[in-house]
Parts: sequence; C-alpha cells; structure tokens
Amino acid sequence: MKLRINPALIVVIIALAAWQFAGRGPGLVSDVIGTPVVVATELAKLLGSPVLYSNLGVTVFEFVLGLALATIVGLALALGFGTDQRAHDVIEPFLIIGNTVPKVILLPAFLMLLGTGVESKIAFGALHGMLPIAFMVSNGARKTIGSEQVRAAMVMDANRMQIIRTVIFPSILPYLVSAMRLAVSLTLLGVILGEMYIARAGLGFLLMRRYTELQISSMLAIVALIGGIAAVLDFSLRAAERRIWRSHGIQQS
Amino acid sequence: MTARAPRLKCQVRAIQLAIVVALLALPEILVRTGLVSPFALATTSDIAASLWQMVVSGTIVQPLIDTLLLVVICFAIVAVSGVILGFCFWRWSLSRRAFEPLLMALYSIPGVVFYPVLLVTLGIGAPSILGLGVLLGLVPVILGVQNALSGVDPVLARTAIILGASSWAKYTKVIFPAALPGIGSALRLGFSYVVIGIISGQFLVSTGGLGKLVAQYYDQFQVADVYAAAFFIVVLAIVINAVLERVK
Amino acid sequence: MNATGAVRVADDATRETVIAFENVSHAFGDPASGNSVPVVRDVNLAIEEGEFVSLIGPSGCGKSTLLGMASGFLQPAQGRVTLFGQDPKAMRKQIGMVFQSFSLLPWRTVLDNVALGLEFRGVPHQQRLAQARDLIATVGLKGFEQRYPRELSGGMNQRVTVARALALNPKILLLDEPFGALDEQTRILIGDELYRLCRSFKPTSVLVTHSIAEAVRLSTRIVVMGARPTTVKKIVKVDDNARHGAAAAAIEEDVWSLLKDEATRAMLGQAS
Repeated sequence: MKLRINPALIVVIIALAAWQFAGRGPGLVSDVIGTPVVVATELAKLLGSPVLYSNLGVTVFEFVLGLALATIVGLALALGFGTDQRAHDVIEPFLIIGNTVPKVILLPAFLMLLGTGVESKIAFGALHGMLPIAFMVSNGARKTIGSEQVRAAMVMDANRMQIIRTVIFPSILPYLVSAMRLAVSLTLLGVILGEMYIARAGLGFLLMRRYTELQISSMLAIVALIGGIAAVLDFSLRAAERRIWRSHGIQQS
Repeated sequence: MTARAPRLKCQVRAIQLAIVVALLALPEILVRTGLVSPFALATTSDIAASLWQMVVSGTIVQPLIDTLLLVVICFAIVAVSGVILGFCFWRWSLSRRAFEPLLMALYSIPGVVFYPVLLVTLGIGAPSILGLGVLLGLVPVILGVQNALSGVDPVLARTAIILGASSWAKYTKVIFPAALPGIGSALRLGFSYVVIGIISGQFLVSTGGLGKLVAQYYDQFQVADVYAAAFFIVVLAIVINAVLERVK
Repeated sequence: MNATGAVRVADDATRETVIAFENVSHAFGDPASGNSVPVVRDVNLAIEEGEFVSLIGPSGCGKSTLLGMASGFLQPAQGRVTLFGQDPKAMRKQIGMVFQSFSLLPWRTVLDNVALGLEFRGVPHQQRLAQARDLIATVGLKGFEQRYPRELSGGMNQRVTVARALALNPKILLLDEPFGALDEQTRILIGDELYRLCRSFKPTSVLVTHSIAEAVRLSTRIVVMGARPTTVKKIVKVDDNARHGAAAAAIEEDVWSLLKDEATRAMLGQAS
C-alpha cells in the first residue's frame, strides 16, 4: 500500500522543526521572537482573551463593509462603463493605474478626509477591493455580450430582460466569483494596512501594539491568525471558483 | 475589425484628458467652496506649489534616490530568484507540489503583516524593506514564469530534440525564448509589487525614502505636502510602469 | 438556371417565396475612412417554401454575411432581404438558427437547453419540458436529458443545437456551417439525420457549407457563390434520386469545377 503524503506538509513540518530547533540556545529565536511552541501558546492565550475578540470584531466590521462598498462601486463601474467598448477604453487605464500604484500613500488622505476611525479603513479597504471587480466583471460582461449564446437567444426572439436573466447574468457569474476572491484578499489587505498605521482598534492595530510593546511572540500569534483567516478565505473562494468555472465548461467565444 | 480607427483613439484620449483635468480641479473646488475642510484637503494650487517647492529645494531628491535604489536592488533579487525558482518548479514537479501550496497561501495573506516580523529580525532599515519587497514580488514572478514555461508548445521542445539539440540548447534556444513574453509580463507584475512593497515599508516604519516622506508630512500636519508627495509618487509609478510597457 | 440574374420562381408557381435577397450588396468597415471591404455584391436569390438550399463557396467569401442578413442581425448596405415579404427582424419568431460553435448554455442541462426557446416564448414549465423531451428523442439523444454539454461529444452537442432550433417549430431554418467543428464521419451521420429531420419538419432551410458532398446529400438546390465580394455564380438543382452514386458524382463534379476557380481566386485574394 502506497502512502501518499503531501510534500507541502513535509516542508511545513521541516520548517517548523528547524525553527523550533533554532530556539534551543540563546539568540534571536529564543529571546525575541519565540519558538513555534511559544507562539502557539501565545495564540492559545489570545484566543481565550476578550482583547482579541473586540479587535477582531472591529476588523470584521470594517472588512465586511469595505467589501460591500467595493462590490457596489466595482459592479457599478463594470456594468456602467465596462460593457461598451469605447467607455471601457476610456476607463481601463485608470483601473490599471489603480492596480500598479502603491495605494498606501493615499492612506493619509483617507485619514484626513474621513478621520482615524473605522470609516477611513472601510473606504481604504474598498478602494483596494473594487479594482479587480471593476476589471474582471467588465471583461466578463464584454465577452458575454458578444458571445454566440447571446446571439442564439436573440434569434430565438428573446427580449432584453430574458437575455439578461438567462444568458448574460449566469455567464458573468464565474468572472464575478474570480473577482470576489481577489477583492476579499485585497480588501482585507487595505483594512489591516490601515489599522497598522493609525487606528484605535482592529487586528492590525493589535499587531502593531504588540510590536511596540516588544511582545513579539504574541505579535507572531496575531500574524498567524490573520494569515490563517486570509488563507482559509482564499482557499474556500478558490474552491468555489473552480466549481463555477467547471460548470461553465464549454465557454465558446 | 479590431483595429481602432485613429479618429476613435483621439476621442478616447480627449475624454481621458478631460477626466484627469476634472480630477485635478476637484481639490481646488472642494476646498475653496468650503465643502471640505482645509485640514483634510489642500487646493490644487497649494499642492502644486508645494510640489514645486519640493523639487526645486531638492527635498525630494534624497528620498527619491533611496527609493529607486531599493527598488532596483529588490527587483534584481526578485527577478533572478523568481526566474530560477519558477524554472525549478516547472521542471521538477516534486518541488512544485512541495512549495506551491505554501506560496499560494502566502500570496493570499496581506504581506504587510510580516513587515514587523522583518523589522524585528532584520532591524529597521534597508534589509527589512528589501525583505518586504521580495515577499510581495517573488510569488507572482515565480507563478508567472511557471505559467509561461508551461504555456510553451511542447511540440517546439520535441522538434528541438529531433533536430539534435542538447538539453542545454533546448532550454536556451527554444524554450526560454518562446516563454519570454510570458516571463516578461511576470517580471513587470513583480516589479509593480516590488514598488508597492518598498514604498509601503518606507511608509510604515523607515529611516528614509519617498514613503517615509509622505508619512512624515502627515505626522507634521502639512496637508498640502502630503498630497504633493503622494501625487509625485503616483506619477512616478505611472511613468515607471509606462516605460516598462514600452520595454516589452 | 443562370448566374447573376434573378432566379425565376421555377415550375410550381403556387409556391410562396419565403426568403428573398433583392439586389443585396454589403461592405464592412467605414466607407468614410476608405477602409471598407465589400463582401456581398448584387445578390439576387429567391428561396421557396420547403426548399433546402445550400450556399456553397470559398471560405470567407461572405456566405455567413447573407445568413446574418436573413436573420435580421445585419442590414444590407444596398438592396433588401425579406422573409415572407417582411423585415427579418419582425419575423424572428419564424426562424430557427444553428451555429457552428455550439452556443449552448454550459450551465444548463441538455433538457433545459432545448427548452430555452420555449422558455422565451412563455410556454409553461411542464409543457415545454415535455416538448423538449420529444425533440431530444427525435434527434436520437433520449437518455441524455440531464447531461451537461461538456459531457457530450461535438456531434451530440450539435444535435442538441438542432433540437433547440426545431423546438420552436420554425418555418425557416438557417444553418451556418453547423458541422464545421465535427470530424468527417460524424458530419456524414449528422447530415443524414438533418436530412431526415428536415423532411419530417419541412422548414425552408438555408445551409451554409463548404462541403460539396454535403450540399449534394442534403439540398434541393445548390447555390454556388463566388469569392469575396460574393455573388451568385450558379444554381444547381438536385433531385432526390441524385444524392448518391453516379448522378451525385456528376453534380459534384459540376459544382467543383466552378468552385475550384472561385476558391483559387479567393486564395490569391482576387475578386471574381
């Protein structure tokens, strides 16, 4: 019987073991950042403490609202400008610029305009998240509108509403799901980045506080927590994404 | 029928120009009419004046050099290791199966959360900033290079072998050149991530650089300067990316 | 039958002209910028009720453009196209169309795909599923109702498309190189099925193809089109007993001799 062990798992185990081993003697690991065991203990402590949950709540709040805002604005841009080729040509460079520019430098502007509370983080997160949605949904919309499925529906004398409902909307769905996966990841980035810089609460804020208090192991526990949440979200969205693209198997252009 | 008539392109450019002008005029209007507080936004003229001042007095020079230097060094690291690793993962599937899930997981995590870890282990200064840039830029390059190599028509490789190419020549003369466009776009993507990483790091905690400049002005409540510096960075990023597009 | 002139309504004068192309010309691109490409030149063609007409010509000559006009998607730059004497756009309810790419909705089952047209018409749920099931059985796909297009072969998918077109009981069936993506053997088999279906449903059909054998097997008339800008070169009548054997070969030879010139011209980029 052949044992199929995931090689990635082995890499992780080796890495953790090496890290643990590095903390044997005095040095950076044992004195400052802590071994995996220490970090795990801190994580356990954290999960039992109300401090975590109040901050987690703030981050979740900002994230959800930011994502909602990103979706609304992103869809508005995509469906408003993305469907017409000419309008798309006009908007596209702005979207590309939005992607390549370090948006962190706009953070002070958000802070000055919206204050240092949750509003600025929500808006900043939304700024990050709306770009993939605008981009990818408009691409999907244009591909769909010119597709032979739409043409076939038109020949069958469907009216506009019918075409949108039965052909266009389901056709765009996979693009939307792919875009949402990116939007989730980016909105989270925006929110946490905002919290790390200036905030009164949130996971990012907590992380920086542990940093300044030199409680590095606890800080690492928070990093692991944030990373874990992000990875799980991404993983599940990828699974949903795969499923929906598969059910659209024949995508003839 | 996909060729855009030149007349249409002019129209598009004109509308875009109009949008840019409107955006630039916006701060002026908002602040002058009192819709937005002057503590939150500066007029376009003030921002322009501040920008001019920064350039003329040379305040912007050192941070610019710091930033560009770090970007170049970081990109060199990312490009070399990214291409090598991308090749390895493509060539030896065991390595890919071992590391790819981790890379994907890493990619989905907001890289900035690792910055404090880097600060603790590498100290404040260039190494940790470079580390952040590498963290953000490496994964897209590796994945992009991998995809580019996988996208090469296998028939090409077999043709090369049949024509008597050695293993080395097969790679250098056939596969890599064929994958070059894909590798190019992966590198461009990596570059923009590197820029984002460097400037983000400088912004959060740093001893110098353009990112720090913006943070500094914010700390000192110099509203116009904050926007001016941000504007400068945005334009810089646009210019650099435009240049890279040409290099393609 | 002759070349560029209008085709007289043949022997049976009581048969209605279903599709008419009158002095149709068309060009793509912007005439103002001087970038226009003429694709159709002076096409005159009358197709009568119950006919199965094949449009055959070199690749890219503009045959599909003619179908586009007949289905109301394109307005001819000059001349006009009528269905039952009316604007094609108003007659859409009478048209069924089959495309080369399958244009099926991949997220729907075969049953739901075939029922799509009926759904648009507002036919109630149970009834349209029943009708769809009938049609699916007619095209020989009974048992595959719950499958998805990605699970079926090219030939099967094309049969689903035909079933979907026929579900609306169209008076006119337009087929735009429907078998182009299929291998030769499947092509022949499906062609036979189409023949059978058309004889039982009796729509007036127009098939765009570049396979001469297929045209001979299926059509009552073959219209040979010239290289771009396309125009009617010759019309050949095909009787039912001339579909196989020596008679068929003779017609194929006849069509090919003309087509060869046109195809060569098309290859060399010349107009005819």
